[in-house]
Amino acid sequence: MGFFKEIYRNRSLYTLALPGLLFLVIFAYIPMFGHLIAFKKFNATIGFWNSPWVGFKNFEFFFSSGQWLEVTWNTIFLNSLFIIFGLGLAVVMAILLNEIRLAIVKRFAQSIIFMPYFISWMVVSLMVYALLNTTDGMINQMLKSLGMDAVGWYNNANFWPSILTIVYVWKMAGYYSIIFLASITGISSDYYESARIDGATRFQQIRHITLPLIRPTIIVLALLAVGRIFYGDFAMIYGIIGDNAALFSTTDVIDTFSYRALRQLGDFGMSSSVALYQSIMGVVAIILFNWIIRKVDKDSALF
Amino acid sequence: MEQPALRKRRNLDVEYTWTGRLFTWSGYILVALFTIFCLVPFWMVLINSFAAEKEIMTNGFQLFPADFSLDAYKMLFKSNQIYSSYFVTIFVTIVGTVLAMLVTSMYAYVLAHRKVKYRNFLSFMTYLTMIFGAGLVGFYITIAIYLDLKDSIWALILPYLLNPFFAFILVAFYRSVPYELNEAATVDGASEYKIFFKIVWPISLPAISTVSLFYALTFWNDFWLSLLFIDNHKLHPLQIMLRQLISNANMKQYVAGAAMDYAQAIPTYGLQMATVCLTIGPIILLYPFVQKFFVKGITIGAVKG
Amino acid sequence: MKLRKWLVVMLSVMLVVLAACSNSNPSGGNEGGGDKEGGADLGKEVTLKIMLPGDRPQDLDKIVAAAEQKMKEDGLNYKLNFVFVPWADLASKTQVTLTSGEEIDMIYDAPWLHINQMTSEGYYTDLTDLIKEHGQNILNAGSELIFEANKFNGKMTAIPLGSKNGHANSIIIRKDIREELGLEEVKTHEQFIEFLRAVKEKKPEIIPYSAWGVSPDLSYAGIRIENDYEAGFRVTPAFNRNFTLYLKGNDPTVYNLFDEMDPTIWSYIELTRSMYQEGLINPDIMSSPDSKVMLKSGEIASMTYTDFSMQQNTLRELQANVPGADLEIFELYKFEKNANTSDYKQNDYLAIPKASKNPVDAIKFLNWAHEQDNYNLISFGIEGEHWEAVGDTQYKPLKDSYPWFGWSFLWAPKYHKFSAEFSPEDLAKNEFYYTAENFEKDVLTGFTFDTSPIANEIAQFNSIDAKYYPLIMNGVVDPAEAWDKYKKEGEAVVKKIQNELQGQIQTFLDGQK
Repeated sequence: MGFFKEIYRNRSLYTLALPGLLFLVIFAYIPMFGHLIAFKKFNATIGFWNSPWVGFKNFEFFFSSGQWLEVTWNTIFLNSLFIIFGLGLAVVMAILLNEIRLAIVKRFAQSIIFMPYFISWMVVSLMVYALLNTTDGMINQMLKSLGMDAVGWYNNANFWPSILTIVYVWKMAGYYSIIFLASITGISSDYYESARIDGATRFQQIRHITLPLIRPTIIVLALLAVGRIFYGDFAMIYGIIGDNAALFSTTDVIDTFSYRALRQLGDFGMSSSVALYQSIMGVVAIILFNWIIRKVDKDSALF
Repeated sequence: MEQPALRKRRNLDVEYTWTGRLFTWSGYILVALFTIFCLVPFWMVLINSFAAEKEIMTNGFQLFPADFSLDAYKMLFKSNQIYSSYFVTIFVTIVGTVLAMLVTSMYAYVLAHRKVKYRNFLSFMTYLTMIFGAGLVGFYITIAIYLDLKDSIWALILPYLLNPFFAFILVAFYRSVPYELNEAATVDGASEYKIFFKIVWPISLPAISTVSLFYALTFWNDFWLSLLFIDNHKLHPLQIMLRQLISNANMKQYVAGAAMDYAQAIPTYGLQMATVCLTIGPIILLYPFVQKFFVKGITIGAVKG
Repeated sequence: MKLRKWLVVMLSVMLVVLAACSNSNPSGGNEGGGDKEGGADLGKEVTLKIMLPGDRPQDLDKIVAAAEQKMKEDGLNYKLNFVFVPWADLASKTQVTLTSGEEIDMIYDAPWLHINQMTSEGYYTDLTDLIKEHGQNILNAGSELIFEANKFNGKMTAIPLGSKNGHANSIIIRKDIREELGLEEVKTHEQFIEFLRAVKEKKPEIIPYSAWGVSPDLSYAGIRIENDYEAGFRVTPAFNRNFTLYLKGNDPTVYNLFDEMDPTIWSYIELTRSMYQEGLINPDIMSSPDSKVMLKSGEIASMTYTDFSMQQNTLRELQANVPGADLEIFELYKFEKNANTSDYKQNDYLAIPKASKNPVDAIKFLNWAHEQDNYNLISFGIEGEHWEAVGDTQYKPLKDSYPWFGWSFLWAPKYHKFSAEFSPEDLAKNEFYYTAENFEKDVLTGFTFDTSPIANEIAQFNSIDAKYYPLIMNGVVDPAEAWDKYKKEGEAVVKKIQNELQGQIQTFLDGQK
């Protein structure tokens, strides 16, 4: 009763939401039945419903291997680095860009840092190799000309969390900084004016006006990223690392692991089981994170 | 260009103190450094697309190649694929962005609206789709078989009409719009549609233009949907063309275990770089245009403020 | 406001153009057309959809148009719809297509892809009767032995392409560098290593040797094991590029390196490690791009190879970058009758999925394509424009807009032509290689390993394998330490796979008696 009353009272608002709702049902909720495949010995020739149920058998290959802990840890660790440094630098860049008074310089810089976003991971991997390879990579050439030994970047897994983070920041910081910049632009100039009259320095203005006002945006972006913390960026990691087993100990994420395990087998039941694991862990992570946010700042929580 | 009022205000600015100046300059330097950091690889792609193939083969990617040639571009423009791919990509980007903006901005407005009792539930359901993604098979079967969108241009547009991430960015912006505006309009007897399109939309212009840009990028950069749903090469967008060029050149990496050496023409590095440039070109040009709207957003904000 | 108007105009123009495009496009799957303006007896028009890997040849549309015309004259009303999938996405795209039961009439598959899996799961049509009825030309174009040997679980579920026998390894060497260093032509592995040392010492800017990619069967240790004619090591049908389980000679017993390390195999592994440490092997081998690209750019002095004859275009590209460069082949293969065994299995197959609604038409089309003139048209293009004949068995390409993609689709030895660039010596080697009688018949000929009972173990092993085996075989890590870890993680799984494999082999052999 309360439900229909609410719908009726705000019917015009709900109609505004209708196209979006329809979209979610068709393109997000209906396809979720695909997760059932994780519990089936799926065979399309006999159809989805006729394929036999097999319980948790499809999960065995992943969880009995002992490697699932390592790849899960790698996934979370790399993604945390990406979130912290990616968003962090984006905020810094947005604030600094906003401080630039010369419009031309501002626009130019803004456009440039945004550009790496367009370069596909495949091309990025070619560039990383051109920079880092042992024999004629640019960095090793530089080291050699300074009288140092060449570094075998591609043989030492310990370098790679940092290298991948740098590459990620390079590619994504510009993109995120646009969101923050738009958010800063939306702050009314009155705040700054009154602060200036009170004699606040630039730095104080940033600390006490800009940062608090863009905090909701930062939290929203962080929350959204945390929800995907169990999803490794396959295109990025596989594009750059490929099948270089020497680097697996720090860079092998859930997605690349299951890709390699299944690429010859082509078993959809097993791939779906990994996808389901990631989805469920994602939900757990987000509920946890949202709960923490709620404690700290109730208004910024997502739900 | 600048208004006199602004200039006057600047004189009051603390920029002219010693620490202020130091802060400004270190900021400038940081921005400059990061800009260069981003520019260099990009420059490498651009300049090497014009480099002679021999240069790349013998010396790798260089900052300043010695020999230049237009061969890569000539070859690309010789084939018909590039023209039809451009057409498909531009069409999908324009139609997709307009439709997606409409759907998303309306939906996000409802999520942000205080009057809507179920907005938290809706938010959660929206958010859930981001983290609890549907598996590939379910997604594929829904679109290819139930909706029968295989080899249809709509398969490149419809699945991206509502991105929860972008919706939440908009929600965050709408929330910062003073609610009094809305109430005042309701008292005036304006309908919700009118309030949304005549009042909320113009105020949210910075957010709307940012999200439009993001949507445009999503549509422009996507290869995933076309890989799954488009078999007809006449409907292949630019990104698939690029992917084909690059992945086939590195096919040894993907074809694990196959001992094969077929007489397949391997695309050259120059060609790949030229394709990258052609795929980036037009959308980069869009960016300064959208930037203008950010600036407009400020002035509007100032008037209402 | 101006902008909005402009947008609206643009949009409507595009919509109109697009509508026009999609109407005039015949390959949209509307096969119900059946317009009978041509010959009255042509029957309904059928569009055949064919999914292949790689690049779409530039002039394909032209050849397809010519082929469709020719088919009409021959009484077949078919349209050909070729779909090319990028290599990087081949596995996932073909899998999704098959698994979702989408309609497709012909599809490429291979042992390294998922042909065993897809066949045993029943995704492919059994062609035995269809081909007998509608595809006599196909049967006539190949030998019965090949068709017999390439059956899966006793059924002909895919058409084998080509007629290779066994593996073909060699090492390409930069001839000009060898001569410059004053060394004899390389005939033995000792000479080869001597050559690598000389390169390292006198040509420090060049990498002496690079295996071809991360694939362990093409690593130095891998080719040494595979080409050891004394021991006769061979991979098992369970792992097609890993020797942890192996066969010896022409014997069906499956050996397991975790049970007992073979000293010869270990010596090759240790040799490769010492070469890597000495700096003779590309230090970035695990991440390098295609070694062939490095060869062409003059960065490496030698690499593993999978053919006997040097492709002339590789040499030409190398010479364009490094004037005066030359290449030669260090042969690892014995061209002696019965020196090699073969199970006559091919690398590439064309299958007809069960989801296809036109299996008969697909076979009829293939049957049509297995006639010399039609085969030439589809394989090499339009005679006089794309190619010209050189003698009976060779052809010379005239344009690069229609490269040969028949290996993934249509490859019948009877009708095939070799490139005119092959020397008489090359031709003789190929002749040997393609003649089944030169090989001893493998005891496991016709056996297919059914992976479904141990799918979990195989998936587990795949990831353990990828983690250690390529590193060990390429000499990148200390082998003793890495082997211990590899053994610890993999031992139990490999044992299960070994038992299953040995059991299936026994059943197969018992069934043959």
